[in-house]
Amino acid sequence: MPTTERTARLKNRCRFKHVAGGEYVDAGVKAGVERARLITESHKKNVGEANCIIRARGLENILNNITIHIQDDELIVGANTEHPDYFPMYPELSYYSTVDMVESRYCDHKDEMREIAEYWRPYTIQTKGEKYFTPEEIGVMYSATTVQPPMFVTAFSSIVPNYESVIEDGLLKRIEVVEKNIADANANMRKSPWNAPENLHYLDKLDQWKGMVIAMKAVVGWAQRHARLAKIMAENFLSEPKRKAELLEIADICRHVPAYPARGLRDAMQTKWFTYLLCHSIERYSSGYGQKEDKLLWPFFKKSVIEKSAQPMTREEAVELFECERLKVSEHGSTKGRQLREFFAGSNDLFILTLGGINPDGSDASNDCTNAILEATESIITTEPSISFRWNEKGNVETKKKVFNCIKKGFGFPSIKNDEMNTQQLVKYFNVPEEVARDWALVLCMSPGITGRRGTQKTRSEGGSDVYPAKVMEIALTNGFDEFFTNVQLGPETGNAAEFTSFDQVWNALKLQLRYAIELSLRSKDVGRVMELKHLCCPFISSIDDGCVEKGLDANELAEVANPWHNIIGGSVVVIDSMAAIKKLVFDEKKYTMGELMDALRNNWEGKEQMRIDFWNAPKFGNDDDYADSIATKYYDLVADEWKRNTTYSGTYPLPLAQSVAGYIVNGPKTAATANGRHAGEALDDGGSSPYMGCDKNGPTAVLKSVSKINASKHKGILLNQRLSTVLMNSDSGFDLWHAYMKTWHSLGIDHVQFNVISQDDMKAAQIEPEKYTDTLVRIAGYSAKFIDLARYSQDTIIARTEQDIKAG
Amino acid sequence: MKNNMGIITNIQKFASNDGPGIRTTVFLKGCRLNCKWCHNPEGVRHFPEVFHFWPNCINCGNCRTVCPTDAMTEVRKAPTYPEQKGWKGKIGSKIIQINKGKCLNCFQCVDVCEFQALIVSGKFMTVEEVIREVESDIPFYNQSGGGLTVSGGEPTAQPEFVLALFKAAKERGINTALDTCGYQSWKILEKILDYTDYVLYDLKHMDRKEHVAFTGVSNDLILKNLEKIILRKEVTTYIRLPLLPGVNDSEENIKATGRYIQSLGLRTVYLLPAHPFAGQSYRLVGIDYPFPIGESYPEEKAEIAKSILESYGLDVKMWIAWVEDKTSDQSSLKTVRVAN
Repeated sequence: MPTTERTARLKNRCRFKHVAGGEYVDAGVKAGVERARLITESHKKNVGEANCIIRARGLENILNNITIHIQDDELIVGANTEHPDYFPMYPELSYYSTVDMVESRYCDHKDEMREIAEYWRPYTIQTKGEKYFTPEEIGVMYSATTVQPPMFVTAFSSIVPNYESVIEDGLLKRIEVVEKNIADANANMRKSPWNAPENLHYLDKLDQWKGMVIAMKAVVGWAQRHARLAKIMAENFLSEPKRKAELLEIADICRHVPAYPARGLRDAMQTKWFTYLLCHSIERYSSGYGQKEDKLLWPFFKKSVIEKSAQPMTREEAVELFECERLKVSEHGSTKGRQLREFFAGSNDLFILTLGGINPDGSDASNDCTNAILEATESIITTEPSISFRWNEKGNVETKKKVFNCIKKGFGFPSIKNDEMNTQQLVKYFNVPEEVARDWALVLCMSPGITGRRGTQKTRSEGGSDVYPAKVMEIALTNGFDEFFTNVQLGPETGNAAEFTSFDQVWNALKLQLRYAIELSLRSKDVGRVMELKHLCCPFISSIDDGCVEKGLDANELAEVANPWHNIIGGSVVVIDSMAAIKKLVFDEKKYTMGELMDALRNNWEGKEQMRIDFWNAPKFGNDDDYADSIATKYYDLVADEWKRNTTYSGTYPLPLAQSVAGYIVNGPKTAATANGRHAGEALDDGGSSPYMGCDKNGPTAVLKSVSKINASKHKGILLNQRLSTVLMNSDSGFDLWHAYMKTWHSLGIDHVQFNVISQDDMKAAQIEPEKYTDTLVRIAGYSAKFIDLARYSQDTIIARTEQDIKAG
Repeated sequence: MKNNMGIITNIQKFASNDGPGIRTTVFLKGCRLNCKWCHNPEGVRHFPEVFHFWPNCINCGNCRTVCPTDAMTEVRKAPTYPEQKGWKGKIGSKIIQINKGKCLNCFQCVDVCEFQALIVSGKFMTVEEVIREVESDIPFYNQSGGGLTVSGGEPTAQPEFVLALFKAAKERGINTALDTCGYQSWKILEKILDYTDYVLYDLKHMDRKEHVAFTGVSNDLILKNLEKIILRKEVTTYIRLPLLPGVNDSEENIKATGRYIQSLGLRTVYLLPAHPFAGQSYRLVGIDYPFPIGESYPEEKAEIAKSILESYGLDVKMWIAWVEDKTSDQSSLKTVRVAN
């Protein structure tokens, strides 16, 4: 239950933008046209300028002219489009994604938008990027079978904005700094004698700095527009004194921030929200809600709630503010192409914030602000934003209890990350000083990155994008040719499996196919990165990073702290279980030949049910069985080693990250029958190291033991889904048992775990009477969704996950 | 104590209802009592036996061709209770049924069943084999204060095995819990208690006659043993009271039970309302279940029982884990895994 009448009303009329089966669930959701219109208008006027200036002028035109609105009851104001029902469009990113939107039922301005899409076509990063690939390579990538299509066509990105610098400095001070850089550069260039090597680099930098100033001034102006709107509404249109006072306070806040440093919690929250909109949705589109929120807001929480020295408020008011924040995120519409809409079944976008862990000085970072955020999460019940909790030994039990309370209610989050392990990863692989690493937050679902004033991740071409291992395994058995879905040669010719005579040959074919897929993917990301820095400068995002300001570089170009990773999405455990079955039944026991297996797989086990059962009953990962687990260990090491062979834009090798989003559902239908006894088209495994649905028969302790055998420190992250019984979690000893389970999880050196706590009865009942279960949330993978928003197929896969229960003795 | 084998029906990990913390519960096969409501009917008989896991049965006829006593008959597949979980195939299609009177438990049918519809319940395991399973969860015991529980059936019906198993657990620093009905001679029980940390003691009925009627034995020995157990300072005893509709849930019996527990100076009582899933297991075992199937014990009645017991100053904990949707198909499958 929302804690106040305000948040109850806000939730009631919240325009959720969840998608199911690739379409928006709420019929009122529309594509807003203003952003696309304004950026196009500005582009036409500024063609010929340096890209950073074109981009700054584009942002300026949007912020000066886009329709702004303040809704009833809102405490946090600002949106990315002209209307709360809309999501924005980005014609400068991907031609295909834009056309997909324009031709959908969401777009009402078809003629205008078609013209805009065609205008942009030669300028899009898609057109720019495609030139560096053969038509065959484009075909493989765009089929979304073995790899995710490249970022230049999906337009998908990830970012961790430098919230700290905006909140601490205010933009006016940052404008001063940049203007001083410009003045210094100009002075240096006029020094006698003329020295080209020392001065010509200033040309690019001057453009960048000028772009930053234009962008920051436009942002301050945009905030002032909100202040004026609030004041006009208060003074001319409202008689109700309470709301009038609230609007005047909103006007005061927007006049003050982000121009000046935040004074208290209200200022900090508003600054954070404005910055979020700009970095994730207005300047360009980026997924995520990456921030260490309790750390970021703690100084202001202290001032306002505890000391009451600035913008004083009660603790209840703070909880209400966090509820408002969650609803603001829930209403935020993001734009994605069809493949990604299908991938995020039931959600709007991947909004994930991070809490807990420790401070740079090693003390417990969970504070009362952490608790208030968790309390608001528990009361308001929304799927977004998801929360990741950094589980550290030093974390206090009270906060962990609040984490438990959310999990117990079946939200599926907070998901839990191993704090020490993720900190060490940043130290070990990316040379981050330990005290900086200790402020890490998740960039997206699973991947840690630094937060703070400089060096945070700015684009998904740094880290992200996927390889789909089950499909890779499939073509490793069919000479690289996809017989099932595309009829295209998707990888190199690595031989027909019917002729393989040893397990090593099977393994080697998998290795070579993985190698081709990862190298193609990485190349497409790094080509995309160069297209971004040349054609998609982000002057505002750059202006809030101390490194970019200092060096006069675009945020896409500067890679102060490397953070490369590449996902293996949905299907890793299908590969492991298939390999274990092949090894056991074909090569150890010689019960079947590779020829027989290939026939059975090609015919989808038709007429071979007994054989299928044999393969289904072969050792499976997740049962603390060394036969399957040793193959899992070998597989995860293989992936890490293959990724390690490469060097990316930021100068080091990427780490693998095993997870699934809803890829296990989307990619299942594209994947033929597999040797783990799975039929063609059935779902894949639902997470990086989660046992295949129904295959963990030995209880949750055995699952943890199996997972702990994987050397997770070689990986960016490995996702683990667990279902726990509602009764276990709600019993008197629920917390103690869960706490003991979590402490064991931690001591076993596992990277991640998240829980679905919902009974099969409730899920089945929700399928029959969805209207009664509007608040039933389930965990998909990196995010949670409303159960009733999911397609039936997705619902069934969740019901099929083995529930880890206690048996009646 | 060489060649120490026990008959095990199941090893359940992450058990949280069988003593403190996260535990591994070893279910032994065979019981001295014959409770009409037994919720683990597969644990009653003292020998391995054939179970018919009917959801998997397609009536292929393989079993009938090998059965030396012609114990298989054909019946129509029907749900045990409405909205039965775990059905594969159509209700109404034909499946086989085993006539337990004829069955020799020779297991030839199990070997020829390709669909895992015929399975063996009960497996001979050595102490070493069992303890290997148990010790794999030591990290969880250490964090939660959990350990090993033996249950059944009636574990003390295999006293030497339990003793050896408990000794082995103690050597590995694993704490031990004995889930017992107490129907065993004190001499034997005493030896096991030397290696026992927790006793989970069932009190099924306070009235001697009723006890005989429903369990087949009198409660004299059971009560006498309990009175001795509680004198052992190093053993913590928890009383478990199953609540069976119309059997032992009369106000009179609950009051008598409360009074008795109070007189012993014990505080903690676990109340176990009947759960709806035993019925299915009965069908697997091939005997009729004497109570309505698929119904949970009414919550209000359980609350009344709880408040009566509390009036005797007892700390009453309700264990209702089994009303959770937990298909006994699944738990039986677990039995299969260990049994194979």
